[in-house]
Amino acid sequence: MDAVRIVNEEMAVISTEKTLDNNNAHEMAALVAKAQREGYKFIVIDMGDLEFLASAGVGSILGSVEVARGMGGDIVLCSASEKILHVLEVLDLVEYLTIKNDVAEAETCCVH
Amino acid sequence: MALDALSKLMEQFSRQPNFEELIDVMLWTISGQFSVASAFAILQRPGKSRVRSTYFATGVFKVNKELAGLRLSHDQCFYFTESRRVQRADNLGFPVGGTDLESTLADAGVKILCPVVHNDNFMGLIGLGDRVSRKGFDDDDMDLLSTLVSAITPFIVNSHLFWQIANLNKWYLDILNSVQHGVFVFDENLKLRKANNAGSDMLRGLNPYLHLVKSLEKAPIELVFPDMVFENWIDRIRNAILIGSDSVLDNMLVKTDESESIFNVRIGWSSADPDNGKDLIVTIDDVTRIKENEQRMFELQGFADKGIMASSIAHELNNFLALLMAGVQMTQLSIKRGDSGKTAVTLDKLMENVRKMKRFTMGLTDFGMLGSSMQNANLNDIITDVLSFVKVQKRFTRIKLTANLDFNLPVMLMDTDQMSQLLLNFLNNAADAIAGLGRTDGAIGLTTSQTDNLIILTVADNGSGIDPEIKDKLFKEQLTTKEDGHGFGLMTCARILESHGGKISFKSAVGEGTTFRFEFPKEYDPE
Repeated sequence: MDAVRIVNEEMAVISTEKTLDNNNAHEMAALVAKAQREGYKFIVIDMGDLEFLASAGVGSILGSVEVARGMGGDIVLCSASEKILHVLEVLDLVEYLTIKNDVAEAETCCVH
Repeated sequence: MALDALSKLMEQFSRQPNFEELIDVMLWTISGQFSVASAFAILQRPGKSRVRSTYFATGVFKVNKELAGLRLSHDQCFYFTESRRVQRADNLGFPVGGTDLESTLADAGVKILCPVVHNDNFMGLIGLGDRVSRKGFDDDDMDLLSTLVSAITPFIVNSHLFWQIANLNKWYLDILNSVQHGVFVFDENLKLRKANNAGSDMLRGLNPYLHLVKSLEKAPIELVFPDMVFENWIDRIRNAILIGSDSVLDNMLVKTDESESIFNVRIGWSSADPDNGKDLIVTIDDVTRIKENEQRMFELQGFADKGIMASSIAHELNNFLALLMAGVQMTQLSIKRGDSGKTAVTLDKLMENVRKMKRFTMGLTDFGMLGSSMQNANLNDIITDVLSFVKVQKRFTRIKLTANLDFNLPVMLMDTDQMSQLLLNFLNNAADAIAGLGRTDGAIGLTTSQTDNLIILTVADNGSGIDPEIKDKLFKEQLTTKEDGHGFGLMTCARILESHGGKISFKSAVGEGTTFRFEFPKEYDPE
């Protein structure tokens, strides 16, 4: 998992690895939690490299969304492949989650 | 997807021992599978209600204090154990006493509860918040959750057990690390299994080469206590191991370039473990400061200004001065007469008297302390103290010192300082006799015994023995066979013996050794 890239004082970007599953769900959760503790309201998760998304990976992100929205921010997913989007659709999460096409669009939507 | 999630979870539980991380992953898996943002698990020891349980959560449940502080009654635990089914949190169906629990769950936003039960033992609850899509949970969802939790429960039980064991091990390790003594545990092959923090710190402080070794884990004992730093430690430890019972090795030396340290080393054994056998436990205690203080006290006592016979010292000095004066006058006369031969002879004699005077002043430190401070004391204690003092001295490092003491020895009236001085003198002489012979297997043995009327001490050495020509003169005059000797040591001993009503005898063979025998009356009135 890449380290957090700071965009501005409110936004950080985390890039996933090829998989987000039981083995590295903790790492994702820890990075998001750390960024939120440091005051970044908007966390962009760049899924450009993601090839496999397991339930544990989904759960580790879902748990952070309510926290982010409670801070007046959000967790924004971007650059997800069709396969990943399909998983999110099956789990009925597409309406709930904020999903953008790419990082630039994600960064733009978070600007107040 | 559910089966895949379940198999991944089971595989992770069987592989990874970190219980807390496993429960987090389980909650994320369930959250992801059911599309809920928040979930919690309350887990406790199987079959134990009202004991401290552990709370895990994701999402907003993570910071919910009411859920974290939830305590189920015995009846509630029993109910969940009996029903075992997944239930809606707002309709738990408790026969009695369920309304408080229902309201707590409702306030927190919990929608579904699933009991965790193993072998009829209640282990806890898993609760889910609302689905993010707000679609609610149907019967299929409830069945799926029930199946998931049932399948994963045995793995939770095993992981919980491992977690408890790990915490217990950590508890014991915390205790071990708080001990100031160095503690080292070796397996039956004498390879290091564990060292506490104090032990590791001691090794780092004493062994300048330790930084070259990557890790001492599973290191052989010879690497933990290398001979170049811990001289003779391994031999002594191995000898103690052969004895088999717990023992203490006194005065184990460690010499570095900068200092010399003294340790007491305790050898002990753990209880036998079916997998690992008995472990050797080596505990080391730095007694350097204690020994330094003892030595300082001993020296201070030794040189205490009590009972030094000032008049006899002054008398001896006057004798020497008179000789010197006479010698100077004769030299002056010879020079006046121009008799250079006689001058040279007189000067030689003068020089000899100056040397005698020097030996006398050097011997004053041994001649003193003949004051009177009599008290009831045990000779065995004196022997033990003096031996512990001399053991660490260079003179005695290659000499085997043994003591065979009569533990029923009664107390006797004695001046403990004088008695220590007596013993020290004979031990020093014995050590010198051994060194004089150049022996590497030098030995000095002390024994105490008693008869009806006497307390007997013997000091035996395997040194050079006493020349028959000087045997008769011992103790009677300023006799010394040593190049730098002054002869007052044995005279002092004679005075000490006399002041205790004691007698001395000895047997000796040149080249074989000497045994001195001291006899002290059990009942003695110095008056």
